[in-house]
Amino acid sequence: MDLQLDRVTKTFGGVAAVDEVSLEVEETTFFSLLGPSGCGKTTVLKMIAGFVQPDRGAIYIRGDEVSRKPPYKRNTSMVFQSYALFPHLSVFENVAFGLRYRGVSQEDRKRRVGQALEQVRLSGHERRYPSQLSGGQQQRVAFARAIVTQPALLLLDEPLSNLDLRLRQQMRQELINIQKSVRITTVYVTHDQGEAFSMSDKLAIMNGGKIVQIGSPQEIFLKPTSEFVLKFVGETNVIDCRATAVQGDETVVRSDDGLEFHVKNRAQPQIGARLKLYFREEQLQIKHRCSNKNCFPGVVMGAQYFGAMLTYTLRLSTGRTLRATTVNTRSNAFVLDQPIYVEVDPEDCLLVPGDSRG
Amino acid sequence: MEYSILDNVGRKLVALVRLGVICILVAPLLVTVLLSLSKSFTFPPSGFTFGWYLNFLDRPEFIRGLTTSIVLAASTVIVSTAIGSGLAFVLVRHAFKGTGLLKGLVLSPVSLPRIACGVSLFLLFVNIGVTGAFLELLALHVIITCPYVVSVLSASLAGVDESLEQASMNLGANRYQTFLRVTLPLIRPGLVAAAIFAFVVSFDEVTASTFLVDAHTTTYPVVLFSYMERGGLDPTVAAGTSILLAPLLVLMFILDRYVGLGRALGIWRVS
Repeated sequence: MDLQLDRVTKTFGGVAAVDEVSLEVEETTFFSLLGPSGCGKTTVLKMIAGFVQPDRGAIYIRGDEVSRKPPYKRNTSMVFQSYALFPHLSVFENVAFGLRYRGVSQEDRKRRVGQALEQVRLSGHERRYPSQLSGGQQQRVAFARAIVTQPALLLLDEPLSNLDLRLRQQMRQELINIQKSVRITTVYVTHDQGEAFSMSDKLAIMNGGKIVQIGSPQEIFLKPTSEFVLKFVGETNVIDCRATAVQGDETVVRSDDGLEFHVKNRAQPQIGARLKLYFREEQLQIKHRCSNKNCFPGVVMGAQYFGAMLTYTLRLSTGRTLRATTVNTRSNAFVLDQPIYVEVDPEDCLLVPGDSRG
Repeated sequence: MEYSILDNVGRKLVALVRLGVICILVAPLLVTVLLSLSKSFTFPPSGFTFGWYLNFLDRPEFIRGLTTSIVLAASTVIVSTAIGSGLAFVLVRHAFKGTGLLKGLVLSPVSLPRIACGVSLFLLFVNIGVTGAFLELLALHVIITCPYVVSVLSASLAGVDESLEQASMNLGANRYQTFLRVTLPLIRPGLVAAAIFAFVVSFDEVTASTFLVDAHTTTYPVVLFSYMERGGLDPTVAAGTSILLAPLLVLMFILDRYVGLGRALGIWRVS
């Protein structure tokens, strides 16, 4: 176990920025903290690095408690959102900075800096200064500076957010490749779900200072345990409804406009309880005819193109509108006013308690 | 077309204003130099002589005063930047409940009449029995220059991204090493500017210093002042001022060459 947080809490001005956060990160794992801005994910990272002291709780790095240790005694390496390269030092001196304070001989320093720069494909730039490099190159230097000390933990604070889209996607892949080759346990902070899902072995979703769900990207995407996670990691349809029956492992609910849905539900709601039914836009399928449960007739009202994906707005016969996102291929091409059927798998539905009125 | 004509007029106006400003700034210096070479203390000058320069060099009190002032200003620079950088660091990096009060206290000598500073320090030193004009003057000058040093260095420190210091500590440098290797090099232009301010303000200070000088330790401006008071209303003081111009210009040239005066003083270059 490279990192363990045990009920870590930090309060700023009476408000808990981080509230009883516990987590464990195994060796060589790429672990992401994902959440909206202000959810406390950066504060967690700063507490791991030692820039912020927790009020309560303990932090262990490779089994050692470091909660009260200063940053320079923790053996973590951080890549900052702003890169934080030293503007008055050359690329070589920037990367060699951490080795200097670890008592590495000058000869070894040279060799290891050379290796690290090779790893980020920046060999030959040793004598340049940060201001002479492009954003992507600065990013690589920051990364080389972090891995060259072979830390117990690599901490990344939204390192890709200052790059343009194309570079960001390229760096994403490069970052994973390097992380896998140096095998350093990594904690990655981001608000970008695409990044978190595509890069992580495991991720934690945070909201309001708390971790709301931890799991693999697949688990979190397919089995969200709360309304927040579901809404946060994708676009969803929501339907107000009431539970009408329980049939085996399925709950039957009826919406206000008379649609009946079957839901594979983990929790068994009370009959008559007000509920909210959620399913993702991608989980709503558009069909030419019905074959299953949860299938309703409607017409195509509009389409929105996002390049590879497209989102249809559909009106059901009851007048309700739903949104369905599909891959933009010819087999998914529907025209305006075309009558269709929509269907959602009972497995893909999530029921949460609705408000009590009505 | 219309745009370029307007643009041209604007350019010429700016050039004119710039020329005017330079004239206003240079005129007093020019008058001083001309007067120092004039036979009589009148303007426009009449006749030409180096006599006042010889008179200046003949009087040991001027040379002694000049030496005292230079040593005093240099000492002020050292003490004031040392104290000032510490204060600035606390004010900018470690805000606490009394930060505002501390800042107000540190900056207060600027808004206090100099004469009040002089009198109160004089009374204090007399009452607690401190003697030694040089140390008294040093204390006074440090108090007077500290606000400038703290303001300049605070601005400079605030411009240094805190994440750079965090990055340094994250990489294994302790606070002291971080200050030496990261913070200090990044605020160097600010330090140079603060040192220049402290030197100039100390060298120029006369009002408060008059209360603390004694027969052996007198600063240069006070010497000039008392020379005029004792009836020396002749161009010797003009000579005494002009003599400083040459080394000052050389100093400014060197500073601009190696630090960038504009950058050091926080002035943008108008190119």
